[in-house]
Amino acid sequence: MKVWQAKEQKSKVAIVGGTRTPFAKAGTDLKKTSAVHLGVTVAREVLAQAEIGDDSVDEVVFGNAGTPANAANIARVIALRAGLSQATPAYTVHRNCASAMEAVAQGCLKIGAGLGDTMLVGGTESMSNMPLLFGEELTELFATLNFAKSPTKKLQKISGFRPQWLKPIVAIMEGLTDPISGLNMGQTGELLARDFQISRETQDKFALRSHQRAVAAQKEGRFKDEIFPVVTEPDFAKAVEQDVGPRDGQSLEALAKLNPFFDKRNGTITPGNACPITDGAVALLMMSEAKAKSEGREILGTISAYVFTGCDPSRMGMGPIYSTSEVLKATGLALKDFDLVELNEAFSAQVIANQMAFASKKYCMEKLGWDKEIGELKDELLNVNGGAVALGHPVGATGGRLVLTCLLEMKRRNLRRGLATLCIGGGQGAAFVLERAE
Amino acid sequence: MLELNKETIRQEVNSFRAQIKPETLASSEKSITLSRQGKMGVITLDEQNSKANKLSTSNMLRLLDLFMEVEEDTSLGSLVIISKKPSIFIAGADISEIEFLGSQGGDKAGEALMKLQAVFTYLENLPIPSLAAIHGACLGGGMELSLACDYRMATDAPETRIGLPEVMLGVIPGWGGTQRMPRLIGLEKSLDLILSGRHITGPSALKMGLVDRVVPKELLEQKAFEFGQELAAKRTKRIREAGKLGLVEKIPGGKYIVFDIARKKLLEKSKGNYPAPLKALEVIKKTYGGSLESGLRTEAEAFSELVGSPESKNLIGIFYLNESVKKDRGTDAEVAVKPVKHAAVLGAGVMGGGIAQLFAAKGVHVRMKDIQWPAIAKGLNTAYGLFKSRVKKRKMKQFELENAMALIGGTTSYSGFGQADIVVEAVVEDLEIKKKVFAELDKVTSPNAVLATNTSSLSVTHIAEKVKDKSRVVGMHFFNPVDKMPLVEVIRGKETSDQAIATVFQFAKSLGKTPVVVKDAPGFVVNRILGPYLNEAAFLLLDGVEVEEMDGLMEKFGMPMGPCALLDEVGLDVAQKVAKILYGAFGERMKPANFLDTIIDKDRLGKKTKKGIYLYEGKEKSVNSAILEGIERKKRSADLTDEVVVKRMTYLMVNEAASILSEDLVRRVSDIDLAMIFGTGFAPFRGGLLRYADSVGIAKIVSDLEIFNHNYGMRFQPCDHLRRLAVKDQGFYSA
Repeated sequence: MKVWQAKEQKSKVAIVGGTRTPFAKAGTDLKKTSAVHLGVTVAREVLAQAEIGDDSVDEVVFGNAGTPANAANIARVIALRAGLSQATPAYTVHRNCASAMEAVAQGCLKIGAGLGDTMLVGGTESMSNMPLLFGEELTELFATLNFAKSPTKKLQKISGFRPQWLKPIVAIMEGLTDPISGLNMGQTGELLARDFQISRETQDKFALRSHQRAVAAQKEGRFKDEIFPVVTEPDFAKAVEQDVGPRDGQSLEALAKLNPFFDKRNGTITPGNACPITDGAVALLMMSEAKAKSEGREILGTISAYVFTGCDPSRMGMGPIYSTSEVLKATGLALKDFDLVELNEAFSAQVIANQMAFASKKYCMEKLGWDKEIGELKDELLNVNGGAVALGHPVGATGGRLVLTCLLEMKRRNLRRGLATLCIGGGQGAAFVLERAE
Repeated sequence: MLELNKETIRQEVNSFRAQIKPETLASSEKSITLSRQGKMGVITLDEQNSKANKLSTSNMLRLLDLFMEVEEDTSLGSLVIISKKPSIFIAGADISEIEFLGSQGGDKAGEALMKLQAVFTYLENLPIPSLAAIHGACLGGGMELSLACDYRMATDAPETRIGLPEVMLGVIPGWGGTQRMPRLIGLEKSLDLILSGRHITGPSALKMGLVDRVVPKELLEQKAFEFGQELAAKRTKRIREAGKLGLVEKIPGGKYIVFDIARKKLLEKSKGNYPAPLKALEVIKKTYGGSLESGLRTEAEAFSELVGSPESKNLIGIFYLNESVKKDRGTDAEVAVKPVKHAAVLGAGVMGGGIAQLFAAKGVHVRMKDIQWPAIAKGLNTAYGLFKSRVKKRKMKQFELENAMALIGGTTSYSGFGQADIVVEAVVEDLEIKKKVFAELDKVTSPNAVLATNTSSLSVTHIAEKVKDKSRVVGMHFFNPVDKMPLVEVIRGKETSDQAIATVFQFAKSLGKTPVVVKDAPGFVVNRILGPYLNEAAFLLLDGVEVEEMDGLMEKFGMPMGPCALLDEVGLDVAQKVAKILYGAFGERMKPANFLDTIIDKDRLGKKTKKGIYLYEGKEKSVNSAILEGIERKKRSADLTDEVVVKRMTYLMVNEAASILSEDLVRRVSDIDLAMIFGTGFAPFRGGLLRYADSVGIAKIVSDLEIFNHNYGMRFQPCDHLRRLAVKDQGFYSA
């Protein structure tokens, strides 16, 4: 797939507003709050902040990976509940960890092509509410019961029931396993730790830094413009105002105590140096630059290029370098041209592996067709307010957070160019180039 | 009872015909028409120049003519009765005729009624089967007409409402409702409907056996005509089965238990103030199981006893007051009113949360701002609780709750306020804070937005001080609990524009509330009148009247609760605050009794702290005897009779209302009655405070006030307006 570039478009695509919910580790503060409610909360607020009319949004696109059974096209439910008119079309996109990124990409495509000038995009995920599924036998039993005509027939069928059929299939575990490689996401991370010889200690240090940066950002109020509180379902009795994940006082000692989760004997990846499964949502308001300017809106940034690429599913964590490599080639930019980078922290090992690969002449030549290494991805520019290891990774929403976090930090520091990139379960990568006018 | 001899009926009824204007009769001929579709006759109801079909005498005569025509036409095998109106089958009898009957006196009314009863009996006895095809309101006489049909088919649309609401107008069903309904659906269910006057939907009516089939409204005509053709082919009347008996009724002697329970419940609820339901019960008890003929006669006699009674007149008066609000726009000025689609509420307390819930329930988008998120969560939780209780009562589905809750967006900034058509401020009752908040609103809202305050005691004019365009500032005073209390006082500040008044007035109506426009003066109408009332309750406690005695007397008078219970409900601290404001504004006559100041304590503030003049435990309440212990009370003197107790409280209200009128704060006398009925539940059967005063006689009230003035203090001094009325021997309404 070719790299999408703003200069080839009719119109530049701007982001003029955005907010996210606090991210909460699954099973904690947002455990009873639905993905719909999370999405509505941010969508409604972004529209309110922008004072956009009910019928002024051309289309709504939301990313979501674990489709709730009662909201199959969740984007449409969010659009209407957030107060947009019934005439507003909406669709849901699914690209695993990059679902919200895909929503942003849809905005670029459609606004860039002049199909619309205002789009509400985002992503939402309630990993707390992933269902347990019935096994094949039990599903079959229910189906035949429906067709059994007489009570005797029904009884006959029921008598065939075996208690072990009650063992549920955990949808979230299925979802986090790649059927092509047969590996779950953590196992693909372990492969990278081995490939790049990344020690447990190095990973834990990285994780610690993620927490320290996130806590510092919290304390200094740097998330204030980014986070919009959620009042929780079912009874709207409690407001969650901050990310739940970042731990003040996280230590290497505490991290060292945790056992490897995915490879109990030889592994290095623990719940402490991997991102937790998480609930959260993000919404962004996209506009053609021309319209945003004519309405006198503040432009947080424009998207100048993006690409999605494929890679080895069993090493899906290398997605960022594959996609970034393509973007650099197409735009002629170098890694040093970026003032800030958000690279999603699926696993500490996986981020470190990418950093090492960017700096490796061998990797860049063999895998990516460069004649030298791409360059150094500097620690001090990378995930400066912490990343998913501390904040969490609500699969369908994360891509939107990377864009939002990056843009708001660029504004704070008055920077020109940022990169938002992430790895995608199943072996893909996404890279977005964000620009900010002086 | 008339014999159903065609000639007799024709003669009897022709005696009516002579009294009706020819053009009215001609209009009925156009409104009610008979057509034929093969063997099926169809009577179509489409009242000329009106949105509603009503059963005036003229229309009843027209129906009789058509029933006779149907009977004579032997080619017809069935009759279908259907309405052309979009949301009304038959709204009921013509209320102005009920009033007229009342003015005619009992005997004449009974006689007239019995003749008209014959029209439905004629329908019932037609040789061919009949079907009522019901969509929209099917109330009172409309219900009675459909009960006389062999079959009833109704739509499942929400606008289909079926019932016998006569008791709400102080009368009973008079065209066979007390007879045919119990025969059709048994005692328990019909008593429930007739004694309460409530109406039900098509599906509930199907469950009760009141209708035979429910269809979607789009298919009503098609399905009714298909069924009508089927009936025409068979041409057989329906054999009426005995009504389905309720559980208790099935026990031998069970029906007496049913009557007994119903009577006890009625007496408890009405304190004996509402004769109509009791009368309906008596009629049904007397006639249930007897012949239709004598039953109808008993019904007509009972009706004639009630029609024209003061209770009925007052209830009909309130019905008309309500109708007049529907037509009112809050101002005589011609101004364009923009419907409210987006609103904002400032403050997420009990009132703010309640107001946001009300808006969301009516599909209005609401931004709800408070300073801290936990406060916003509390407001949302208030709204959620109100919706959830509707879900539990099956008046709302869970998904509807989720849709409604999504309409309320919390915020600690003013985000979204720029889109609001109206902002309602419900922050603490502190003038400086309110002024500051309005100065902020002035900046963040669109210049066209109406800025309303929900203040209960502060001056709207003062609150508006820092707003550039003061004409858009207005009061919108809701009462607690917002979802239940129907009144909204719309306060006109010194510079409030007609447009702002009309917008709030219309918006309040669209929320299902009853608005009353009041000029900006301390306490507006309701609190100003309740102030002296509640204050007097405190004086009476000090004069030795017991809490329960006093509350019992006022309940008997017709108030929904006594003054002590009301103080607890309002909150002792709130009452104290309002009392001080009123004292500050009106001086000596509103000087608070030395009571609230003594008993108030931070965990003794009334119902909200479970401790006030009463103690609250679950749904039970008992007098909090501790509260009176430290207080010096007189022994109740012999001349402080129950009657005097009631007069001291009610006459003070009348006196204050007279002051309000003389200060020209409301647009018309009836506004005070509207406000008191819908804001305090003031005895509806008395027609409101001023109707009540008129019925007592102003001169009598003034003379009693003079005595009280002498005996109990100068707060009873009758105001000039009241004295003037007394001198001229006028009433409030006849002045």
